[in-house]
Formats: sequence, C-alpha cells, structure tokens
Amino acid sequence: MSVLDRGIRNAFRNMTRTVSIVAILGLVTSLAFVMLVAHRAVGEKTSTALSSVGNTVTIGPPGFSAGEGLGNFLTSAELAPIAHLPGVAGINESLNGAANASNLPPDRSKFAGSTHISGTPGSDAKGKKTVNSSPRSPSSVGAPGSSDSPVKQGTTSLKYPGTMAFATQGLACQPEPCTPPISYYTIYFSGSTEPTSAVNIGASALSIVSGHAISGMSSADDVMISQEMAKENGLKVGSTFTAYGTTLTVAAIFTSDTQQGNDTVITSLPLLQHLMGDTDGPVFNAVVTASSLTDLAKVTSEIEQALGAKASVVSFVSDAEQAVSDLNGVQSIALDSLVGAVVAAVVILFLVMVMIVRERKREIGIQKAIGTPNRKIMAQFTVEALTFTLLGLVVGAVIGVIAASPVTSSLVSHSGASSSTGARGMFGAGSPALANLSHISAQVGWPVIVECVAGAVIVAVAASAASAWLISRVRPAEVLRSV
Amino acid sequence: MLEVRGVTKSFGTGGTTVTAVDNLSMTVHDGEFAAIVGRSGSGKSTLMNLLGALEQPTRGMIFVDGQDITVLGQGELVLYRRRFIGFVFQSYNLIPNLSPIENVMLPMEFMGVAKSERRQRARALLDQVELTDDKQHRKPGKLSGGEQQRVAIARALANKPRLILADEPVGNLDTQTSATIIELLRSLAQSAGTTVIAVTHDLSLAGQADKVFRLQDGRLTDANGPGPAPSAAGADGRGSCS
Repeated sequence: MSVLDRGIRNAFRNMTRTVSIVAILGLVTSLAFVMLVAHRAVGEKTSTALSSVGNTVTIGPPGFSAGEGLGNFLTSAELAPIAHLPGVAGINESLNGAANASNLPPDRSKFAGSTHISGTPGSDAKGKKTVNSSPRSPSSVGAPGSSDSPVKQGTTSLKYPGTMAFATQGLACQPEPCTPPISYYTIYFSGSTEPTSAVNIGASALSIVSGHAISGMSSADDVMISQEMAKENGLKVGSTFTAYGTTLTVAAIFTSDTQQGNDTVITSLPLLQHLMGDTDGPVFNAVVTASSLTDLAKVTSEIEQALGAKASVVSFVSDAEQAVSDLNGVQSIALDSLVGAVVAAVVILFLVMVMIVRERKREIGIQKAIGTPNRKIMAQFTVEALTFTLLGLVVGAVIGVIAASPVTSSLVSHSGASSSTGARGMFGAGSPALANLSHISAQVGWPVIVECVAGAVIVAVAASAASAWLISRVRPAEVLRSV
Repeated sequence: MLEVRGVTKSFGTGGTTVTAVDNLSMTVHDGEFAAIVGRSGSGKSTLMNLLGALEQPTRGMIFVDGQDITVLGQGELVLYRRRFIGFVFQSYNLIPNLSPIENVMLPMEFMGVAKSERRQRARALLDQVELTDDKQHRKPGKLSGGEQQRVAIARALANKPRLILADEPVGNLDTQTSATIIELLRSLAQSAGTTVIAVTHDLSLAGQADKVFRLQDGRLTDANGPGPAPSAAGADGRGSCS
C-alpha cells in the first residue's frame, strides 16, 4: 500500500464526515465553478464587443449620432485637416447615392403614382423609411434627409439584380400581411476614398473577382459592380452603362457577402460627388482610424475641436464601453465571488485538515517512530485533502454545469446590461456587437474544467500546508508518552 | 552491541528542571533479552525513548554497533529507527484502518522493499506470531489485545531490526496471553539474534530476561542476570551498570 492508497483510504475512514466535507466543498466549488464560467462568458462578450468596434471614429453631419434630422453635409475640404491630426492613421470619406433602376417592380402599374418621393432614397427627415426605399439600414446607406441634401435621386440603365422580397423587406403596408408597394427598384451608389472597404456597402467581406480595384481619389468614370449586377445586366470588365446621365465604365467586378452589397455600385468619392452635380464636394460620413486604441479618445477630442458644431463625432469605443459597463460590473461580481469561494474552500479544507491531523496525532507519532519520513506523512495527508477537494469538485461541477447558464443570465439581467444595447441613434449604433449584449451563452468548456482541476489542486495543497506544519511538529516521544 | 555511557535527560517544566535519566550507563549484547524494571516515574520510558532515538539526551552517548546515535541529525535518526529499531507498545498502536498485514508491510515500504516481497514477508511474520490467515485481513479493532500485540511484534520485526524496544508489552494483557507474548519475544530474540529490551512491571517477564536493569529516580540501581531477584551488577558478565 502506497502513500497514495493510504491517503485515499484515509479520506473514507469516516463516511459521515467524508460526505459532509464533500457536500460543503461541493457547494463552495459549485459557486466557484459558476462564477468562473460567468466571468469567462461575460469577459468574452465584452471583449468581442470592444474589439468589434475597432479603433475608429465616425464623423457625420450634425444629428448623425442622435438619429434626428441631419444638418448640412460636411465637405472634403472641411475634412482635409483631419487626416493630418496626430494619432490619425487614415480616413475613409464616403458618400452614397441612389438611382432608379431601368427595370420596374412586378405589377408596378398597380402602384403607379403611389408614394415615390424623389430625392429621399433611404429615409425621410425623421429617419422613417419611405415606400420606395430599399431595405438597407440607414446607417449603412447614409441616406440624407435634410431639405438641403446634396444627394439627388438619379436614374440608371442598370437593372436591379435583387428580388422583390429583398427590395421590400422591412417596409410596412396596410392591411398586413401584404407586399408593400414600391414604384421603383433602387440601385445604390457608394463613393468613397477607400472603395475596397466592405463596410461602405454594408458587407463584411468584399473581393475583386475580375478587373482592377479603382482608386478612391480618381475622378475617372470607372466603377466596380457586383458579380450579381454584372450577370443581371450582361456586363463585364470594360463594359459601360449610364447613371445620372453619365456613361460609366466597369473597371472591376466584385463579390460581397450581403445582398445589399451586391445591389451597390462602387465609385470613387470624387466621381460620385461629380455625379451628384455638387461642386462643394459633399461627404456623408468619414471613418477615421486612430493609430492605436489608446489614441482614440485623444483623436476623438481633437476631431471634435477641429470640426465643432459642423459635425457629429461618434466613437463606437466609448459607446461600447458605456454599453459594457454593466457587464463589467457583472464580471467584477463574478470575480469577487470566485475569489471568495476559493478562499472559503481553502479555509474549510484548512480547518478540516487541522482537525484530522490533531485527531490522528498518535498515528502520526507511531509512523514517525517506525521510521516514516515527514514528507511521506505530509504527502499522505495532502492526498487525503486532494481526495476531498476533487470529490467536492465533481459535485460542484455537476451543480455548476446545471446552474452556470441560468445564474449567468440572471446576473446579467439584474445588472441592467439588458437595457444597454449600445445603440445611439439610428446612425450612431453601427456595431451589431453592441446589440443583444445581455444574450450571453455561458458554456462549460475544457478550459474551465482544466482551470477548476488546477484550482482544486492548489486549494488542496494550500490547505495541506497547515496540516504539514502540524505534522512536522508532532514529536513521537510526547505522543507515545501520553498513550 | 548497545552501550549507554553517562546519559542524562532533563526536562524543563514550569521553571524547574526534572532529570528523568541521570548519568546512566549500561551495556546490552547482541541477542540478549533484557528487562528494565522500576516504579512509575523512575525514568524507564524516557530511557526507552532515548534508546529508540525518539529523544536526544541532554548529556552522554549511546552507541549502537559502535555508532554514537546522539550525534545523528534528524534525517539520520529517522533512518536509524527505520533500520535498527522495532517498537512494541503497551497499547499496540497499530494503524486502525490498516489490516494486520498492511500494518506489518508499512515499515518495509520506507526501506524500499518491493510490494510483492513486503506482502510475502509480512505474511511470514504474521504466521510466525501465529496470527491465523483469516485474522490477517481484519481491522485491528476486531482483534483481541493479544492478537493486536502479536501484530505489533510482527511489525517491529518487519525490517529485521537489531534492537526491539518493548514498552510494557504485556501491560494490557491477561496472564496467559502475557506468557505467550513473553515467550514469543524471547524466542524471537534467540532465533533471530535480535536484542530485546523490555520495560515492564511484570515480574514474570523480568524473570525470563537474560538481564534485568532496575531504575530508581532515573538512576540504575542494579543490573543482574536472569530472574527478578537483585544481585551484584554485571555478575554474570553479560551486563554492567554504573
């Protein structure tokens, strides 16, 4: 029989006591387990939310962040100094336009003369969708709504490549259910200084499949269209079509991961400004990239100072930080509870081991008398402590697996995080990661189990330190004399 | 050979010093069965603890086969106890949750004896002390006092020690069992050449000893040959005292 065997067997010498110790440790361990899972789940959620917004600042016209009526658009000239501010790594200025497609929706005659409003392709001044709009979100379209909007509704020879369902998605009609009437299919134009940025067209991925990407600063009549658009219109690289009364050349064909992206024609910023017929060089919004996340607050402040009331400046990081502040509170509570549970486990096991060592003082004395080294006796008691802890861990893990998800959800729902969606107005909310922050999936994975086992070993060793000290002080002569 | 030279052991209690063993010298040869007798508080148990390296003397030297054990470090003392000493206690002091065979195997584990050999040797020792097979796997609590003491003797013999120190080995046993245990100790000493030193009140045990040391107030007052009757110290030539 080895030290290991004796340690394990000793753990079961008194079954009533063993069950009691394991039950208490199991409860404490389950708390630690649940809190560890909650801490990790909340941490991953906040980390994802913060990292998703990146180190960017978005600049729009006044009212941009509040979702109210938009003020005058900014111009390239006004934004030019921003690129030279310290801490600014880059700036992507963009403008969006809309043009009626050359093909008409099915049964258009049925809706003829209904509600087409020229010049408001995405939303009206209050941000409400109008019946001839496309389903894309206003924030990504960046549709202007003010009366002095430089954006003009145009026409194009292109046919709409999407479906009626997509074109009317999100639009309401009475009485429901019904297909909302639309007068025209709308094809959107995105002009930007970074034409290959997928964000400009409401997508997360954009890749060129033929031709060469256009330059964002070029004034040439070159554009990029989607593979879907090219197929629908029988176009290829080098083909031409018309929009806003101008003949445009297909310089590249791309694919994107959204229908919205595939419905959009990408141009350079100067070209779209020219197509809009505005010589002021309007820019709907600009996304400024800071050199690093730590520079973001400073860069935001400098931009606000530089542009004053002419612009609305939105930093999604501050949005995210505000939105996840409640989650940080939950994470903090989880961490405190975890530490508390671990400390409680150490204290409980410490007292148990002190009690056991004192009870077995005579046995320890006998073992020492017959030549058992101190370290072997200590190891035997450590194995006993480890047996209690691991059994407690098994009980705790079973309870923890069952309770982790509901407890985490309960903590989050009571923290107020569920009311913090991170949305700041219809144009300011932009990061999907900030929505549904309260929807946290607390899953028990291998890392949690490994951490718990490691923690259990540490708890057992820490608690055994006291028993080891007591063991080292047992003098066999004294113990045997008292028999 | 065990040789004690001028050993003194003092304890400080409540500001006063108590001398439990006072300038004691004695010699026990290999294979002898010696008894130490004396009243309670005469220093018998302290002397046993000193011989068993469970305590260090305040003064003096204890030689075992020419090696002074009073100069050994703690680790060496543990090794000394493991290799050279076998203890038999009045209250048996078996590990309660280990079976007799496991109790006997325990000291061998720390000598690095292989498990199969440990088991084999433990079984042989328990057979030697006449503990039947069915009782070799029972918990000590389910054995009689005499049976437990047999197990304790087998455990004391596990590492083939040079010296067995028995502290009141028959103190808790009835007369008939005591006689059996005494005979067992004696026969073991003779057959294996093991030196046995027993502390006892029991005159029948002392009567069977090759040598009897009498202690009074920590001093050796007398040592003689077999039997409880005192005689001149070292008269039989096998023991001496000072």
